[in-house]
Amino acid sequence: MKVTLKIKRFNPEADQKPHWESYPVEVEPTERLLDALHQVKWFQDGTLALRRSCAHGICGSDTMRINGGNRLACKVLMQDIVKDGGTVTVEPMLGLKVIKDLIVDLEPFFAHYRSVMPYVVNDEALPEDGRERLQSPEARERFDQGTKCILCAACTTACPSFWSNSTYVGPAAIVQAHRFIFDDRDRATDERLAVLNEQFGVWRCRTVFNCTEACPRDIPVTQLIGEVKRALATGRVE
Amino acid sequence: MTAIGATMSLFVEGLLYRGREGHLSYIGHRLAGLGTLLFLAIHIVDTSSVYFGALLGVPEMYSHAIDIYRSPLFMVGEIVLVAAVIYHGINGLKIILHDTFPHWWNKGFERQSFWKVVAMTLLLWAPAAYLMGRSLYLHSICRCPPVETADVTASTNFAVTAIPLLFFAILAVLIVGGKLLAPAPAGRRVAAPPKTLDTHIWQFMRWSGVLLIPLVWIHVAIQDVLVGVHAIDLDFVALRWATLGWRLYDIALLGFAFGHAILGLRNVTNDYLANPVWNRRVKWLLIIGWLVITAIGAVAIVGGVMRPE
Repeated sequence: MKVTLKIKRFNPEADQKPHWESYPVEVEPTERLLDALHQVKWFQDGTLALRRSCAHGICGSDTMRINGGNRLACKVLMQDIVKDGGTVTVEPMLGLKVIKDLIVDLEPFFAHYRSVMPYVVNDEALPEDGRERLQSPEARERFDQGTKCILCAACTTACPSFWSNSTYVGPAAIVQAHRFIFDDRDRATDERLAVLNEQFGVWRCRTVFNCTEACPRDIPVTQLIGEVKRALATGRVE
Repeated sequence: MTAIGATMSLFVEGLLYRGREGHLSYIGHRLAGLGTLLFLAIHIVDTSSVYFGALLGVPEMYSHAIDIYRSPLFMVGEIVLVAAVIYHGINGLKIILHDTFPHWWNKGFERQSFWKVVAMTLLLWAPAAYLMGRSLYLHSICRCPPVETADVTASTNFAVTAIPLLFFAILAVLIVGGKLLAPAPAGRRVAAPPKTLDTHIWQFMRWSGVLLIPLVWIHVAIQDVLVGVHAIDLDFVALRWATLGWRLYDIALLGFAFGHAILGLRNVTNDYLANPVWNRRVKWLLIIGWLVITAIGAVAIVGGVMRPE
């Protein structure tokens, strides 16, 4: 199928502001948008800048706004987003500074990720056999959703609260916090809840639901944020 | 200026983000809330002129205000306002329910709930819009106002009975199809961290939101829809405030509705005003505005209708 990729370009060394450029490409309906972008970069315009690593929906590098919404370019099939002869718009994520073309500065995103202490904290003595801390399958299941996160930033940069103020910790960091708050081996629940209870914590969430819709891993992000809010309001971590 | 320009373009790009039902529902909730707040602030002040008008030596102040509300433009605005009040109420109730049962925040249920909210809003708005549109037609277009006056007692009884029933019906519809039967995930208890100002505000928004649905809807149903602006004058206000119960009702309405509105505006300020200095200044303005307007309203409700000697 013949389609046009309309890509928002921005080169900080030459441009005052972003502009659109269109590239005609010929792709199979079952190819992914990433393949189409590769065609542009490899055969038409080598100056196009984009991030991607594994290209299989695991590393979370190629989040971009595709036809206006956050998706992973490597998980979107052309046939699902455009008809023959149609146009696909591709833009960088919203709310983070654009470095070049489709590449944004993810540092604020990762700073929020670090702020919730994304690791198990437990200073208690090890079990008697000196090996791992065992956990029941049910207790493991409780935080399973959060473990699926690949830190692609699709949720955080789909969030209106984050767009208008990137000081907000954002959905992804809350999902990560949830993953440890609801882990019964962890002992830093209070500290993590305290971070999320601050002015730029969970209370900035306006339940817009864009995060859940954007998540390429189908994590119920708004639900997890809701559970953290409830834990803060009632003390029930359940 | 460039900072303002950048914020504006980000704002516009955000509005154009291709979200789904949740994004629409959020934009609608904000617009409806802001519109209602704007009207509410004006409404508190102009109603207060029943007391302050005579005090300031302008006893006809209230009838002037009411004349403005009787103009066709304002009557159309009133019909839109009622839609906003209905939508904001039902959608708010949806948010509160989902927050209470976070496992309801899942894709299918959220999308379905949005359409339920829209359908219920239209369903409730249609008869209200019909009655108000009819009044607009009779008074402003064919200029043949009905000779019989509105039966205030019947309207009041109807509104006071129907709206609590409606409230529970809406609650039921929002719950049906939900995951009420699906058990919430089990877990453990921890000591809740100390509540911050934001925790308290978040909880107040929810409690006051539930309370405001009957409070505001009964008020709107009687005053805007059933009785109508053409039957409202100084005598009407005096008659209502002759009952202590209605004065207490209006005090509650003033406190909760305007408090809810100002805190909503605080959320909007926090969302769009990132500069800490300006953020703080605007929030102080909000507090001052809230205190002044609430005080004006409260004095008028306590003072009652003042007539020239």
